[in-house]
Amino acid sequence: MNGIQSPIVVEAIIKRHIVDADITIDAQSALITVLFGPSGSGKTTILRALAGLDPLDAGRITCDGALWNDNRRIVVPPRQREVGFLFQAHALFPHLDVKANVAYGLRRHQRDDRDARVTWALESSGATHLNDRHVRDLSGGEAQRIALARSIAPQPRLLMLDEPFSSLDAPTRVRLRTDVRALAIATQTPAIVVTHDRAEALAMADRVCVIVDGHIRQVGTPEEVFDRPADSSVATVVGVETAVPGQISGLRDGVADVLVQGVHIVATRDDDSPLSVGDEVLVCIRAEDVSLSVGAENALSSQRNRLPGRVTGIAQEGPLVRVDIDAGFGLPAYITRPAREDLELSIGSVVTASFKGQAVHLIPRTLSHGH
Amino acid sequence: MDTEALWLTVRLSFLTTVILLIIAVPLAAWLAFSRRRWTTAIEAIVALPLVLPPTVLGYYLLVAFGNQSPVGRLWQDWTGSTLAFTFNGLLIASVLYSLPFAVQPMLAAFSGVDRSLIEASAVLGRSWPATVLRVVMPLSIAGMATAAVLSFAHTVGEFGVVLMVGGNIAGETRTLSIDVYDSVQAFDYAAAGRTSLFLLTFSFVVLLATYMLQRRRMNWVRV
Repeated sequence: MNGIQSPIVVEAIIKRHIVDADITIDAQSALITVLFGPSGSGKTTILRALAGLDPLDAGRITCDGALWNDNRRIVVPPRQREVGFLFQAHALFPHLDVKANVAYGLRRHQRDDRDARVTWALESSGATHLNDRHVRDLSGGEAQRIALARSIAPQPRLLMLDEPFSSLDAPTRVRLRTDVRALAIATQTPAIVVTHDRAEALAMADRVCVIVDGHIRQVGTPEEVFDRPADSSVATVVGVETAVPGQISGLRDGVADVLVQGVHIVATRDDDSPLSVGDEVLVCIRAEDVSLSVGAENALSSQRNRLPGRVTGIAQEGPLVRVDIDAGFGLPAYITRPAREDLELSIGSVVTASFKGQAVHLIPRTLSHGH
Repeated sequence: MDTEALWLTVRLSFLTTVILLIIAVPLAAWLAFSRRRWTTAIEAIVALPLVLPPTVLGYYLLVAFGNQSPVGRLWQDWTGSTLAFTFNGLLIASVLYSLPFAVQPMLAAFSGVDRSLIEASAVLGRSWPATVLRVVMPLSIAGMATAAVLSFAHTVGEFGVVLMVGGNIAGETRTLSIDVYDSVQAFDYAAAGRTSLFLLTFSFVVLLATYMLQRRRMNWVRV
């Protein structure tokens, strides 16, 4: 029972409180959109407006051409939008048991069909074993899985997640976000995720909208946004780093070997992230952790990466110099001005970029096939 | 003790409570969750019987029930009888007089329901009445029970409005509180004492039960 959803296009001009945002959700081009920004930037306001939970001060929202909001008027109420919404604090009904919670949105279905959907939703959310539990006996992570099952059971056209994992412990958070992405891909359910967590944005997004002070500052793939922030406000929010897809090629004591576009690098393993060989990951390296030396030198020590490369760009950024290096994959480095002079860098120079295994952060991430 | 008056009082209080529960649920839900500004004005109007002298409410009701008012005439055209000094008139008066005792505990309970639960219900496709029925009311059992008990008890104890609107007709409008008044007027202190003791005991037991119920439900609901 994996409901293949028709692609959905939501176009919104949202003005409410500090928010003044023009946003398009196109499930055809990106299945999972992450609204990323610091707290107070207005991401939740945007999400709640899209769900119809709060009215706009001005603007309009359309979904596949149908008018949802027209200025202050909520034309289509939340109950008719066929969206699933995951709240920060699960919002499970405390007076109902797990099954009744999951079945809550299925009133129009026949009894047999309803039971089948509840079973399917619990299974898809990895929560079958919680079937007979009472809601108040669930842990935070378990409750959020049930909330996920409840929101997908009616097979919504769009899933909305409002910082759903922020109150969970790190390992649970990593597992849940990986599972939610896999579930969205398996059922082809488009999703909008609100988060202020960089790792979460990188792990879940096909497309990232960076929101600062109520405005959308940049829209792009996570690689684009985190690698090439559009302006300084975005750079401050995302932090500058390389984010490239890779694959785990080996696991040793505390160290993972990763193949990144034909280049081998080593990364110190994070206790949070359960990894196995063959896993697809996003490899994140912050530019300030990369140092440069002149000349080619290729050596892979157990804890330090040394990659030969060629300078493709040099730019002054504040007190630092940003040097873009092609090391088989794009790798920016921040160096000081004196260092740049010592190295006599210019476009095309051959350099060695080095960074410690600890500086490499691996984020497990399923690729969305077909997107 | 006048058993006819007792039976009448019980019947009046029971019907008043039933009607109040039906009226107060949507009213309290609307007051608790509407974003409109004039809910405050409605809230004040609902609370009016708490401060208004019963005679004032009784006076206005008598005027409304009379031949000169559209309400009174309409009722007379429908039923062929008047509302003043009848059980039905008394019932209407009791409903209005006890309205705050039903609405306010419900309003307090409804307002305490986690807003995201109500939003979750809406997003899951449930209409507003269904949400009140399936989420708001089950999570407000203590408030609902308090509303019912207080409405019942308050109707048993009302006097001024009954005297104004109902008068003192045996089997039609003479309630226990009127009976006490009547006995005292007739210098039958023994009868007045018996009925008074009964009402005192009843009131105490009702309040005790309410508070115990509330405490237990609170523990049960708060998880």
